[in-house]
Amino acid sequence: MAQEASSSTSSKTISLKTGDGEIFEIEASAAKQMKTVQRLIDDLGDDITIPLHNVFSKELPKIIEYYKKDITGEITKDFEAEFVKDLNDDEVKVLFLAANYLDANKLFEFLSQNIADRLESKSVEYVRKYFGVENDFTPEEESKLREERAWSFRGIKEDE
Amino acid sequence: MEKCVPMAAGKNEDLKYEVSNNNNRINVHIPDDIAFSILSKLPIKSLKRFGCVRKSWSLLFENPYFMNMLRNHFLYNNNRHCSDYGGDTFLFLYEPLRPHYYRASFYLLSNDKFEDRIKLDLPPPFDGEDIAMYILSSVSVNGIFCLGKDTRRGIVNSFQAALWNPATAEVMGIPPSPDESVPPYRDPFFIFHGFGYDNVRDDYKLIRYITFFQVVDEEEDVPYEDRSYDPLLQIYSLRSNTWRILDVNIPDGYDISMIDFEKPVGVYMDGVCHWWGTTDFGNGEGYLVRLVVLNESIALISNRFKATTFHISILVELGVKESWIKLFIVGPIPSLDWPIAVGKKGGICFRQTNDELVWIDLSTQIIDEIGVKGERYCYQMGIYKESLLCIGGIND
Repeated sequence: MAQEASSSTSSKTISLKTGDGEIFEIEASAAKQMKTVQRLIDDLGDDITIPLHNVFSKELPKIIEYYKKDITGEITKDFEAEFVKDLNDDEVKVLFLAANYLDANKLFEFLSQNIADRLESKSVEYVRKYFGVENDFTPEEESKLREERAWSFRGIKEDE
Repeated sequence: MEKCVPMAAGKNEDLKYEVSNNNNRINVHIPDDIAFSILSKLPIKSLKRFGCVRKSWSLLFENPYFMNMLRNHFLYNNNRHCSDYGGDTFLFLYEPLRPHYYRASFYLLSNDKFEDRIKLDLPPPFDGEDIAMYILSSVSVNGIFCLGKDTRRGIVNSFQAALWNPATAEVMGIPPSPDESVPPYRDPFFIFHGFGYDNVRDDYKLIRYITFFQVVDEEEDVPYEDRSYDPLLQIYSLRSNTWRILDVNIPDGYDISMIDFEKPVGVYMDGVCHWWGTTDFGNGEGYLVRLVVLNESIALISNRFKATTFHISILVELGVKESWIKLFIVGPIPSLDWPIAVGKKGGICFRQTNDELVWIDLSTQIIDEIGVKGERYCYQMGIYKESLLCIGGIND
């Protein structure tokens, strides 16, 4: 579980505690990639367990897996494809929000693109639910807009 | 594992899922500022459709902050695609041999700089001095160019074309079509040409539009049946090595040759040839327009006559005029005269008023000199990727 800090400073590990009380270890170099974590380390020191109230035990290991690969310099297209392959849209959303909270830019940008790819052909209603936004058009306004932009609806199944 | 329990599912109610460990995280709202990171990576067609999600999203294209993100993503994607694709920039221009006397020259620029050029010899009959030639559709398809040449002997126009693979030095002349052999006074005029690839049939094709001079003088001794020839739209197939007439009506009144200062060679992308035409003969606002291919989209670079601010719009969906989106503005940069082409790294090549060619980076607007001058309006540039394709082998 916990890695012994060796005499070389590069393998120093940081303890992170999720919102649901679980503790995970990451390498200090990986922590640097998550600006929120780094800020907390700067404030609290690197010997104490860093609390992450908005990140939970379901997603943190996955995030750690990404940055573990990143510090060895090995993030390839194949790795990224494999990384999201078995995740559904909602699971990716949770990771995306966590990456935002952690200010983990590389993962955030990658997940943004992945979500965009997943949403590309989805219906307007699906996208509303996904982003958790309300439809603030009147029925007349919406149908007028749909008519204006009819060309962008071609080939899309709107009930998905 | 969490348990997902659907709650009330009425016809118009949202399904809400409660996830036991992590209170309602699934339908949590994504704030706009991070939503934009996702939205700016969507294809523009999807973005237009998602304008119907909510009011603020219907105004995304007027939101400068969002448009900046969209532009950055567009260019980032373009640069990534260009580096994946590889290849060189080809430059075709007319170099002055002596005052008022030019020769067509063809170069490959490996670093987008003229000093790193390789000069390639144009094959005969395109290697002569002082001839009017061009590259059809300003494109190299699978490493093949189609070279065209217009000559005028007396009052007769003739058109010669050949397919050329610079890597193998193979040249194959395109035969003339019987339809262009007409009595000399019929004076065929080649309005526009295009070259491209049919990936369904694995065939290379030329397309051209010919009109014929209408004899109106009643006193001329011309047989009645020869007085008027309909314009011809013809297509050539390399596989069959023949021309045939296409029965497509080109609307009257479109003038294609007036807009492009150069030969109306148009552009080719993805199996389709495009030309820019107008029905407005000089009474308009005085806009100059150049059709290019930018990041796998058809794009238009336009400016008001003599102005040095250029607007770049892309066509999101072929055939849909509402899908033109204005994406970039270049300038005002006083030294610029005329856009030439889009380069390997997504920069745009412009000609300056001092005849020099430069690259303009679309995100920074930084000017980078290419280091070459040429005759005023005859430049063509594009991306070339070498191939060993045997042109003769395509012939059936």
